[in-house]
Amino acid sequence: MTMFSRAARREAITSAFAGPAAVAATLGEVTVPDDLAAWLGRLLTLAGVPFGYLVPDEAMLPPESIRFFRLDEQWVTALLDGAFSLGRNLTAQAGGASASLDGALLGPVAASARAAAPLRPRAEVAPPGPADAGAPWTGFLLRSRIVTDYPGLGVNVYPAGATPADPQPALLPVRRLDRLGPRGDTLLCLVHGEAYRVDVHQAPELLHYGIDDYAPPAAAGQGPSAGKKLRTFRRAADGSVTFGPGTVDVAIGASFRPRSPRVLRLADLATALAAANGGGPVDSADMGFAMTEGVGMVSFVSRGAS
Amino acid sequence: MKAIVPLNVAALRVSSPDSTNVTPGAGFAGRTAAFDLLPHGSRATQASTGDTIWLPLGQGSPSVPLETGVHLHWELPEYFKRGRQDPATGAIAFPPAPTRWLVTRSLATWDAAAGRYGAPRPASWVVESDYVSATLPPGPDGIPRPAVPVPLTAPDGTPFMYLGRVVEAARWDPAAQGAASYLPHYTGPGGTPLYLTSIGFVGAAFSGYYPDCRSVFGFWDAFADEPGLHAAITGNNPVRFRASYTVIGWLPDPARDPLAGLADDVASQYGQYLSQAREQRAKVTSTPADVFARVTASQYGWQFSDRAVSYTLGDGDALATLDVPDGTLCAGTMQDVVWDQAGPAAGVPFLATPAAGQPWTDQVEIAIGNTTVQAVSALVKSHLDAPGGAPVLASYETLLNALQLGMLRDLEVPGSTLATLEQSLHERAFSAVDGGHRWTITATAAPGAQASPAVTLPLALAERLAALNAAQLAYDQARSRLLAAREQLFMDWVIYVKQFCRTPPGTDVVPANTLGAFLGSATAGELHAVIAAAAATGLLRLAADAGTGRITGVATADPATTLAGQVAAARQAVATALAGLAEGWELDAVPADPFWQPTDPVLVLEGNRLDPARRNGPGQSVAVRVDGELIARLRLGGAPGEATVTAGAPPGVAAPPAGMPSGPAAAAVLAEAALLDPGWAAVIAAAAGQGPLAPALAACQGGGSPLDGATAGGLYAAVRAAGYQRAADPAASATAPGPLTVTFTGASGPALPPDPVGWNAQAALPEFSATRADPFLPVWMTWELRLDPLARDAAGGYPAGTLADRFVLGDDEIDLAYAAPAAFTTRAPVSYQGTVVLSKKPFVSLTEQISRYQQEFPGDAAGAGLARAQADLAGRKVLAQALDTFSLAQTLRTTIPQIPVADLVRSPDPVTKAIAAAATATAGDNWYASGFNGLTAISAGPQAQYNYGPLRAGFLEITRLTLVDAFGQVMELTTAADGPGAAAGTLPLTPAADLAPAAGDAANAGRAYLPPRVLAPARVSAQWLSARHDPAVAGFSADFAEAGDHPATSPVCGWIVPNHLDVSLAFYDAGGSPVGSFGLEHGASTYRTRAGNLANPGDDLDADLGPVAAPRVNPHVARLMRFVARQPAGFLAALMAAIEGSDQFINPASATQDASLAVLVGRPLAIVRTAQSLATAGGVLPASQASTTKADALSAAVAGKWYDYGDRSARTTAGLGQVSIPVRLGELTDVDDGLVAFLPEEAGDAPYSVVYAAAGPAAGASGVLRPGPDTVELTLNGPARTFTMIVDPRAPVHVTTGILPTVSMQVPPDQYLRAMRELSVAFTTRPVLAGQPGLRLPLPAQAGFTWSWVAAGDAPAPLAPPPAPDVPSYGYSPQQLLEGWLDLIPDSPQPSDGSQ
Repeated sequence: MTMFSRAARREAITSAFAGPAAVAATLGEVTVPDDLAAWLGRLLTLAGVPFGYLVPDEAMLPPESIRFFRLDEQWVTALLDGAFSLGRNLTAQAGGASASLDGALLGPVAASARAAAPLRPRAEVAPPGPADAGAPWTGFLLRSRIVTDYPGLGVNVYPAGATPADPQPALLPVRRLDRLGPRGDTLLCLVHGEAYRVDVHQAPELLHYGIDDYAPPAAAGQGPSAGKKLRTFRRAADGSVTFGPGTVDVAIGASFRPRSPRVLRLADLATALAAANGGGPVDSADMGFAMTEGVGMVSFVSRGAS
Repeated sequence: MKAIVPLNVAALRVSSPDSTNVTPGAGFAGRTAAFDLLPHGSRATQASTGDTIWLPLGQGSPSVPLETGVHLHWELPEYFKRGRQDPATGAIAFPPAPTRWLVTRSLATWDAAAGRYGAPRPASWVVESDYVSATLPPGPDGIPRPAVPVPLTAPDGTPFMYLGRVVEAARWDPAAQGAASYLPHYTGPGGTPLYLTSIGFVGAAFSGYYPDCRSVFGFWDAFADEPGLHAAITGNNPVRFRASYTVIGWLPDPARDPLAGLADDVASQYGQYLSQAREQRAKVTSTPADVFARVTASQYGWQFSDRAVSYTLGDGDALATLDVPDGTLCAGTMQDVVWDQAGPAAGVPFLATPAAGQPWTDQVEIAIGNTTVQAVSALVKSHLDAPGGAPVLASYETLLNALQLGMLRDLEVPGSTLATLEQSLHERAFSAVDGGHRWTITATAAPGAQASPAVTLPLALAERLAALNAAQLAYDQARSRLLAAREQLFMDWVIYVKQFCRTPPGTDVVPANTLGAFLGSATAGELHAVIAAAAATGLLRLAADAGTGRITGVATADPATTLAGQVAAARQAVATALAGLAEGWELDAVPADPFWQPTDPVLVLEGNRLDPARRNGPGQSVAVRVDGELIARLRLGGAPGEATVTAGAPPGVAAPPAGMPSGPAAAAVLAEAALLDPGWAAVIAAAAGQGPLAPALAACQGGGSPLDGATAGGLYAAVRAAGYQRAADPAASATAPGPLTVTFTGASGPALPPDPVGWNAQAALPEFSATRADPFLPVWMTWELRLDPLARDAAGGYPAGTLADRFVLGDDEIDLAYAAPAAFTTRAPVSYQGTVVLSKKPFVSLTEQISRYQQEFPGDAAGAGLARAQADLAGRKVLAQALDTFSLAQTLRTTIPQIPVADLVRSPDPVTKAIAAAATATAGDNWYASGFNGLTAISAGPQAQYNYGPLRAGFLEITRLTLVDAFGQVMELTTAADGPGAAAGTLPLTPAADLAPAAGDAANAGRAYLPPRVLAPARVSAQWLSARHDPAVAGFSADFAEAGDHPATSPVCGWIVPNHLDVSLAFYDAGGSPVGSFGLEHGASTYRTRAGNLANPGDDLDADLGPVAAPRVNPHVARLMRFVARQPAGFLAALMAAIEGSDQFINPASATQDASLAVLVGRPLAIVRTAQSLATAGGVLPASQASTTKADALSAAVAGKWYDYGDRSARTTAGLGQVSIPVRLGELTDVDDGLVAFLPEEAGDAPYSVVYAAAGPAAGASGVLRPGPDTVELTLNGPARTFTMIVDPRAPVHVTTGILPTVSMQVPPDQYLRAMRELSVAFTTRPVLAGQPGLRLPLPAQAGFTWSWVAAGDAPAPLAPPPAPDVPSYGYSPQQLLEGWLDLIPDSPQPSDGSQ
């Protein structure tokens, strides 16, 4: 007389492993450990994938080139599967327990990995919701001197129908934006969604005061020649600003110190600018408004189906 | 300071009608032992064997009925009833029992005129338990009291004397009698000094059964000191009185007092603790009081209060002074025994049943199980509704079993605990029998550190250790066989001496002279064989360390040729080899795996009158007070004002006799008894000036007799209430006739109330009758049953296929089962009967487990239901008892009182003299010490006629059950007529699940199915075979079997790593180096050499393995690979399918390996070898004792001159040794079982022919089969069968036989981990891209290992894991597609110790 039926237990174990669906039904809710999900999530952003697999031949990414791409879902799934079933070398035969287990787990694992894939936080970008899970991953590889010369390049990626001019511009979440190697000239960018317009810009922290031309002093003791194209404006009593019709060229060479001709005397500059703008005092806000210059940016817009 | 240990005192009133009509009758059993009936002298007509002094219970009238009066019996405290086994000799010693008992009675007669009792008057006696005299000692009052005959030779040669006497306390003078009058003056058969214990000369029931221990642990109060009363009760005249008894016991020799060494014990244990704490620089947190509490609880089962110990500490917490109890008084009272034969009660017997001349009966329900746990579950189950039908009930039973075993909560843990539960239950149906010793070598533990686990030894040392273990096994088995031979000799002698004394002679199957010649002398016959066997075996003396119990050495006085000498020599060889090693090693002897003997089935009975006699309380321990904590004052607080009565105040309280040690403590006990006794209430109240409040005081005391109309209440009831917590200075209140609150307090400090064990009173037993007030305390059960036994063949033997043909060890079973209708029995039931001492704890496990469960899971939703169940169960009147001696009778043996071999009747009798001389001839090897004279043969009668059944199986039904109580009262048990169908004249049974007849077996309903069991201690010997051997050590020409569960060398011969990416099985040598792999290529089984092996470009198997005679790899791996190579492709596919199929069934519970490495290596399977055999203790089977005809065993043995027990056992066990016993290797559905496949081995270089894999193809394919129930069969003591196994080493392999507990064997983690670390695993890798500079792969860094890339036909090239493979390093184009292996190679060999 037996306490429990081995035959039934054997049947139960066998049927529990009969196929991915059976395993999934047995397992119920699968919780992937956080660190595992995080690791697989990073793998989804191609972290650790040898570069030779991404660009099989260098000719596909010559110097000073940019290549846009879209990630192949199947390829990524195979990548996850390979990583996930590392060491489980009993998976070739269909119907095996391990194969069933892997099959059942791959879905939840991939979902966890996607959820755990790192996201570069940007205030204006909402994290991708579940509805976006099926969206393709696109991106570009940029191989150029600007990667080495302008560290900290930034990217804004817009889906079709969105422009920076929108009051609330719809940006695509950037999953990865990495310069490959500490001194590399290759930039890899991955976004979640179909990229339509890509703006590559200098690092935002490069915002600065700027003038438009400058020539060093012809001889010692002379001042340099320098100019600023000033956009004229008027500020009303209530603080509102009205722009003038165009710009005026302001010679500001005299605002530099003669002895050290790369240093501005800001009081002189302010006076010069005030004069050019039609008089009146210039406060620090006016000064910032007049002198601040943005960063360089290049936009790429899709011409159609990519 | 004296410890006052509660003593349970029970009183039975025997009136004149009882003594003349009840106690001599069928409803009463008398004494069981009657050494005074031992035949002696030439006029005796019977031989002087032990059976003559045994009076079976309940069969006929008692030889000594109980006389008129009050019979007192006191139950010894549990401490005195517990034997302790000497670890060195295995002998069980009982502590000396108290031998002096002061019995004090306070008696008050009824004053009919006044309508109340008179003042109590005291009287005292001293019972001297160990007083010995050749004649019956006179009683104190001229009435002789029965004393206990004991087997001591009187001065006149009479082979018995009398033990125990009663002396009037006033005349008692401890110095008056010489030492020769007391038991310690005498010695036993081996010259050992005697002293009185709880088992006396009789057995476990001696001290608990009054008729056997009268005037030893009992007292008959005949009231002869009160002539008026005496005349009234003996004359059956109207009389009414009440008496309270206080019994105080002590040991006259202070050195034998249990507490004699307590102070030293506490001091030394505290000292040890202190030095340990110092060594480990731990904070000293335990006090001497903690140590005292621990010692008293564990050694004595006594719980003292904090006041029992006081101490002072000196420098560094060292003990300066210590005061603990230094003496023991066992004390208890039986108060208010009312004897009322006046008025309407005149002449009515106290004990008689409503049906005159008939014993009491009780209608019971009976459940039967292999264990109490299972029987209780079956009983509870039988009371349950079955909402879901039988399967739900079966589940309830499983859950109840799990609850009782404390495994219920484990069932919720994922894994296979149902399998564990089943194994655990199955194992409990066996009792362990000492299996001898086994030697192990461990690393020396640093002081205070934990001992290191067993270690892997150098091969030569492991072989020497194996040789030592083989010698030890041979010795242990020879000693077991020797005991069997001595028992056989004794059984033969009993037959002989009985025939020898019988008149007229000549009617025996074997004539006495012939049998005498067979028994022989010291130089011939059976006796000589026994002596010679002992001489050839020798005697080993183990030297044990007194502190740790470690066995530090062996010695023998016998020559080196004896088995003992060989053990000593082998041990010396190991010790010498150890000494040559640098490290510190220790050689230890530990208990070897035990043999297992099937237990007798257990009955659990439930009825109304079956109050289990747990006289020493339900728990493991009892509350003990010191004399200062006794109640010595009553503070009476009530309306009329406060008053106090002190112990000395009430006049008439008895005083202890002069000369009694611990007199003040005894006086305090006697005073307390008076203060608590409602019989004294009037005197106490008067002394306090509160005379009118006497009834209120009596109510506060409680415990008055129901015969006087007292109701429950007071302190007496309070200490008995469920959940009562002992508190100092208890109080009780009453309101009538006036308000009164009594505080019970001490002489100079707080007092504690007595434990209910030692404070008893007359109680009503309404379940018996409305007037019954005398106890029924079941002690014995006598049983009668019928067994329809397993049939043998016409020649009387068991066919080899007895088990295999008639039973099935199904995949679904842990035990052998049959298919209905049952056709394996004789259908000629045999009757058996026996008598057993009742165990006392049936439901405790269930209620205790519920308590534990509730403590651990306080918020459990089922808590309320469990509490109800617990309350219900606690109130049940249930007894449990195993049918002891039932199994023994199957081998035609039964127990016999052990008395020395002697012929007291006929002379000369040289045979008896020779045996008696031989029994004590060898110093240190006294035959009596091992109890060789404890069994006698059932050589004739119905049981012996064709009913020798060493293979116990069949159907059992109970025909009669009776209970006998502590005083000899008998109760017949009956069952309801409408129980589950059972034959007429039988008591229907509710069997536990594993004793239930097969489904659909209506013919055996109401019976219990006994699955087959071998009635000899046996064990499954599942041993690892070493992977290699070193022929340089003498005696080792082949791999050797390892003793114990931790092999000294690794049993791993090699590894198989399945690789289905390649569809191949890669083979590795034991050392972890790859050999090659078998794969399926284009449908063919193809061998490929290992990756990177340039020396074998043609993938030639022989080139890799080397010559057949001297392979380059482990020879077993080579043989296995050659076997695989010879098989067709289908074999490889089936084997791989089986391996893959097993994956889902293996999920080790304790996968303790290095996790990261495991991920890399995957699932390597170890190739290991085992030897499986079944052995019985001594290698012998229980020979038949039948001697009904000349064809029977005894005649055959005599005719065949089978003097040696081995010869006799081989020929007279009905062919039991040839019976094939099915064995199941592995347990597929236990996820904690690692067996993947096994291959039976034959001799020679091509040992394999077939692979068995439980997860293999159902129908079997190409030589890969699923094992069936009869795939592996072993015979008892038959040759071991060897198997090569492919196992997942992380899980054990289970070996199931059904007839024995399941055993498991596992490669120890330290060994497989070590071997696994050395595996050089090649991972097939393809395709990979390689740029111009070289291969860059993302590889995990593994400490201690180097990655290499192996391309086909190339040597391995080391590969450094790049720090960041995804960083472009241009210049890589064009890339190549490569395929090959990634090889994880250990950096350097592990530190070599020569074993690998």
